[in-house]
Amino acid sequence: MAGKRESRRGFSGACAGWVGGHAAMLFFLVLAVWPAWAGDWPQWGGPGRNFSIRETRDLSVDWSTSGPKVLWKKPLGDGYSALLVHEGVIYAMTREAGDAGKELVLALKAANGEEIWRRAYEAPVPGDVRKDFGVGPRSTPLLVDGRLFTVGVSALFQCLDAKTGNVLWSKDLADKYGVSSMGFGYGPSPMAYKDNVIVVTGGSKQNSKHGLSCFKRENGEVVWESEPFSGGYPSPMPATIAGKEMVLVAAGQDRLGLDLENGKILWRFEAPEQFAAVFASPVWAGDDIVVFSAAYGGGTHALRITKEGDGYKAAELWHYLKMQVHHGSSIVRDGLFIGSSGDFGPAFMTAMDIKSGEVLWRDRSFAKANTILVGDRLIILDEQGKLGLATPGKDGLTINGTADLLEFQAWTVPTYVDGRLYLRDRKTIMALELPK
Amino acid sequence: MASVFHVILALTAVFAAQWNASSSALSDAALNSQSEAPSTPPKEEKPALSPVPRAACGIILDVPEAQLDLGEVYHVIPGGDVQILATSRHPLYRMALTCRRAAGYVVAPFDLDRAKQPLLAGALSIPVRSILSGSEEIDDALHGGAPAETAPEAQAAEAFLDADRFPTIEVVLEKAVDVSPIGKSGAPPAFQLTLVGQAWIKGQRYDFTAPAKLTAHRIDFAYFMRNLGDGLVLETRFEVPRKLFFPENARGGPSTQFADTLDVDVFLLFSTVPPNKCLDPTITQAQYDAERKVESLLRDFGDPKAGYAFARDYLSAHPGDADARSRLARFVLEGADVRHRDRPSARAWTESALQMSKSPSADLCDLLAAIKAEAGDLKSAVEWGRKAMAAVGPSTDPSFAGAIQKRLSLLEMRAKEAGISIDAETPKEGKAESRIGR
Repeated sequence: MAGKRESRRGFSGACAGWVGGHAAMLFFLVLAVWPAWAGDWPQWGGPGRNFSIRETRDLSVDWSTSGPKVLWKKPLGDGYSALLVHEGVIYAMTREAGDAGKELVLALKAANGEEIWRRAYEAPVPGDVRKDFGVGPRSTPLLVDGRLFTVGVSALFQCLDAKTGNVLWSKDLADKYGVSSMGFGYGPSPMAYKDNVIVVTGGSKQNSKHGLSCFKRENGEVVWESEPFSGGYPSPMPATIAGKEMVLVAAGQDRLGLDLENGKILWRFEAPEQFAAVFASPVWAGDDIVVFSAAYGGGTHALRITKEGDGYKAAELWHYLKMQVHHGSSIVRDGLFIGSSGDFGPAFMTAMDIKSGEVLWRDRSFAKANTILVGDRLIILDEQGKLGLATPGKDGLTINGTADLLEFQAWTVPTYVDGRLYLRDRKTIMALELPK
Repeated sequence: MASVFHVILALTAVFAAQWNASSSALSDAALNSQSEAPSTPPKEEKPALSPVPRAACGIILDVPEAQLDLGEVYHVIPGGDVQILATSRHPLYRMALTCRRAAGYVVAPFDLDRAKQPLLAGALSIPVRSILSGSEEIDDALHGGAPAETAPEAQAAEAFLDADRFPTIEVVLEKAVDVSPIGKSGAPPAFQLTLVGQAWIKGQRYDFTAPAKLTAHRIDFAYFMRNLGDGLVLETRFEVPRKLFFPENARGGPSTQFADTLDVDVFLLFSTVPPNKCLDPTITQAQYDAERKVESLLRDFGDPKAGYAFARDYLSAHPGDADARSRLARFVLEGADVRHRDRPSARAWTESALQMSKSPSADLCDLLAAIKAEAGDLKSAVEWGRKAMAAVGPSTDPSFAGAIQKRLSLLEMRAKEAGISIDAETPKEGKAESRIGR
């Protein structure tokens, strides 16, 4: 979509050409950095893939007596995959009970949870996957242009018709790329770019063929395949830095930025302290700063990415060991990096100054949690199933309301659309109404 | 947490630890409840601190709410290390007392590398019955009270540690002073410091000071294999007079085998992940805490009456929970250091779990095989062992499946040796089950 500038065009023509040519980049820039409007939730991280939504509704709550208004609630099978919502339809991934259970993609009416269609398919769980955390899907689908892109726990990558659930094409990433389940089942969520879809295809460090791969949405044809690097759980996340569209990837000890056009590694930063898997997705904090957070020794790195000659350089801005986002979401707001820090012990909602790395506050009101930013409020869902609404500031976190709604291992990020919140755990799906 | 050890052993110390006995004494009820201040106000000016009670699970202390906001809590990790080693170098005997079961915590700043004050609060609780010599005779004496014939006025002087009246030794850290960083550049922070606090031993309060070393641990793979979370180690060494453990008038018996002073070595490993944290996603934290409570009562406090009563109450409150029954049964039968095994209770729980299960899991069948074998019924044991193998499915943990197979093979061998007729062996894998084995 980038247009080629022509010096013989008139000034206005040149401007129009520049704007048109960079429309994708500008659109991308806006969505990735700024909160998007809460019209739908079509992918991991919401419309802007940054867990942030603009909202002008008053989200004041009074849950002191009866908790938030539950519109409906119904059983849903196992899995941690987040819910998508688009034009009144929820898309969910789950798995039938039992060792022989099939993996499922479901379309439900957002109004009442009634099933519209389901697509069931065989998805044998790889032998090296730990089953005690369940074998439901971890990756969140991607909905774009009427197509639903899913990757199940065994790394079966499918393109479905969003209206019918019919499979349009599929690829076995484990078979084709040796994608590693990393012991817990495939986790990263697909990402859209132009007419393509990008998925993590890395395997083990020794056997990886291509760390990231890009396919045409239309037919699954390969657009590009990156050089090898290990697979991982974090989802690829977009950024535009120094005028360049890139995708951020965390994989083992590697923190990477790749060119979205061709998959070339633009910069690489190594975090040698990271002794085990990274789970949390990278965060573009705006401008030239990217943030990676991890447990297992990694801590949080803020990197400044700069253009150097023909290439790019990643320099550490700060590194803080005590901010360890295990597998939850993080957000950026008003120069703060906010997430739930803690792996197996107590967790703290923590806010850090993005530029200086200073910890501004910690709050221990929630267990390990996911959070999304809706307007100026945080919606927090912790692993014990406690939902919270809170207002973050520079001085602290004001808890506006909490309610115990789900069960332990409520590890799925909430989905917010038009005043409604959609939640799931490993057994249940529910819809809530938030504003008074 | 006054390297609680210090507390226990403070009066004199190699490293100039000082312990001053308070003239006040805790009432039995106050000490046993572990939650009240001394009932008799001390004559010293220093006000008495309060021992910190245990949490419901029994293996950690219930950190006061106000201390949770001071910094980061690190809990003592019990079980593996010798936390306290008290060595006696008598001319004719070499004796040692160990403790592996102290519960406690410290609160430290999040950023220890920049901290001037690395310890902000702490407490320790040592079950008296977890102080062991390796000799049952000595342990019985050590944990006991005064001899039966002792006059009331002489009880205190003639008593040993008297676990029945004083089940724990309690320590509370008041502050750390004389702090100096000793860590090398680039290495995890370490400090030399002096602990100041109070301790209660046999109802007697002691104010103490004791030098110690505190070291943070770098989180790497090797450490992770040892322990989850961020870690701290607190160490100290000092001497203590034997009269803290044994009556002054020995009158023969085990206490005469101990020297006048004991060398005490303290090593406490703390972690930000508490030892009661349930990491098994197939059971609830509440169930895990209940199991730890039973474990603590049986093993640490040597109180089978309370332990089994608690277990029965828990199971009564969870009438349909087959898994809880089988887990408790397995712990009682096979728990490594359970000192009081109520086999009839374990059998009853297992059979109860079996009745509740429409399709007995591999775990349950294996447990029944163990119970039958213990009862001498090898034929039934083999049958249940084979049912266990048949219940192994794709979702069963492979190492557990291997353990079941190993036990079955042993049972079959024993049955054959005993001349008991058993059917042909069943296939190694059978019907899949949806329940995940342990």
